[in-house]
Amino acid sequence: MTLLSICWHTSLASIRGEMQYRTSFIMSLLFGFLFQSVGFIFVAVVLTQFDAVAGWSLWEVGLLYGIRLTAHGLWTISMNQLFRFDRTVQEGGWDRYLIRPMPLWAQMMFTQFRIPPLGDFASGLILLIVALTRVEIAWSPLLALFLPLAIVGGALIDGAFQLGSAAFAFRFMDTLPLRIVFDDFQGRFASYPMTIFDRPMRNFLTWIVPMAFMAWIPSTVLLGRTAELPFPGWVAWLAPAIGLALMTLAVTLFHRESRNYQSAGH
Amino acid sequence: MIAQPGPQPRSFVDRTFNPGLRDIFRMGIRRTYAFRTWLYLGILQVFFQLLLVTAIWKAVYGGAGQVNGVSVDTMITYLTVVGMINFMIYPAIADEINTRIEDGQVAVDMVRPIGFIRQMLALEFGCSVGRWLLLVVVVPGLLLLGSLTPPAQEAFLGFLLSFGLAFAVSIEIWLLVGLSSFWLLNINGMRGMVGLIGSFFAGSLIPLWFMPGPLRTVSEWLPFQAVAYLPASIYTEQATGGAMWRAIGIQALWLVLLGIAASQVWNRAQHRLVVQGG
Repeated sequence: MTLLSICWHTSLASIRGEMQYRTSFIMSLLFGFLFQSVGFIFVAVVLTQFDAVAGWSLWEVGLLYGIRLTAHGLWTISMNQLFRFDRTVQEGGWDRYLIRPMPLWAQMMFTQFRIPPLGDFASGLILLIVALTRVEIAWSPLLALFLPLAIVGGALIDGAFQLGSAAFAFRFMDTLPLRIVFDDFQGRFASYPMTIFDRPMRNFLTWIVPMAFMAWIPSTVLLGRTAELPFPGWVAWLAPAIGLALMTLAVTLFHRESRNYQSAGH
Repeated sequence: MIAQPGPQPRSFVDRTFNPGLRDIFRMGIRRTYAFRTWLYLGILQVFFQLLLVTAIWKAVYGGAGQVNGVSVDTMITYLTVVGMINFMIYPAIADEINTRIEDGQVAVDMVRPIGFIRQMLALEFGCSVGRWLLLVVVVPGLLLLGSLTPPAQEAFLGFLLSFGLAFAVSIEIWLLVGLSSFWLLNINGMRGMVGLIGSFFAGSLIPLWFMPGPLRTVSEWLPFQAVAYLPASIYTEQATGGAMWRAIGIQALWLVLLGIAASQVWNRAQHRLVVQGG
């Protein structure tokens, strides 16, 4: 209970801090909105001239894109500290984490709050809700439960690659380029049906860097399109579990790597 | 503090050549290779982007051989050329001006015997030429992912001319963005917006010929088409003969208009100078 209240207060304090620069705050929120939606705007414009992308209609792609963006937003909101993690390690800030009487994960999640990720999450959620009203889904209680689980699973997949990369900061100090590569990869390649890629790329995105489980595979379940998957349809229902498994691996890696921490030399 | 306007404001571009410019140019080239990780990351992003947009366009074409008289192969060549142009044009100048204003360095820059704008341009050229050396890696990579089917000789010569103009127009756009930091002090948001909106209206994702009417009209009235769409449509022989010269004419027009705009803004900027830190 105390933990919760501390988290609440530190988050509020950093929101107040962010709001100090109002113009910059609004600009970055707008930019985040636009930056995240441009991939969907692109497809929407293309589909004014063409019928479908690999058999997916505009709002079916919208649903997929919305799931991916909401999941991504969910992760960045809860773990946006990671953005400055290299610096925390470089400057010896990890020392402070280690001596505070609070679980490490809670400190990483709640001691700072940045506004831009809210823009990602909001644009994802808006797109998802609009798309849900435009596509036909044969709803069942199970499916209604599956959607939020899939979004959380997607957030965990996105997060596993970010946290897993950040773990190497303890050893190599500089992991931002690696995290940008994975973030870029997620933003570009997880947002569309994998059937647009040729087989090697599709296999890579399904089995090696399994971004396909973030949005494409859950969307096929929702839209009843599991026939286009390269495996039996029921496997697609396990998408949330993939996220959980990857995150477990990432956390384990993070703990192991953190033993290499050497503090700062001053 | 706010600098008092001097008796004679510096002209936009001095006419005399100063050997110091050559050193700034060389510094630009060296700087490209000082931050190698970010350079490679930039190259990787160009490849990722090309991989994605070609996949999407192939998917929307489906089995169709031609749409509006444009074949899927032409489309892929177009996207590859745009990818190459986006790699070759690097807006170092905007960040550089902004950094110099943010930390007050601009005060020293402006009393140097070489005009501020010339220093910035020399650095921009250096950074760009530094990147161009990497075309030996980038072009084969692009060939692997997309296609650069060489056009007829006339179209190719037209493209070279058009690319030169595209480069110049793009530098003028980024110079204007950079100069806006004399007013805004921090241009991160501005830079991101111009980059994003600019690349969309430049036809980097969708060539103007596939844009719905109103959007196309907007793109045709903006300078961004001169940066990617016009040179790429000359390369892919979508604009040949008279249309090619018309495209080059539009670019030349924007070159002049933006040049005038930049020199006007620069004249005002000198009187707005705020030196931070110090």
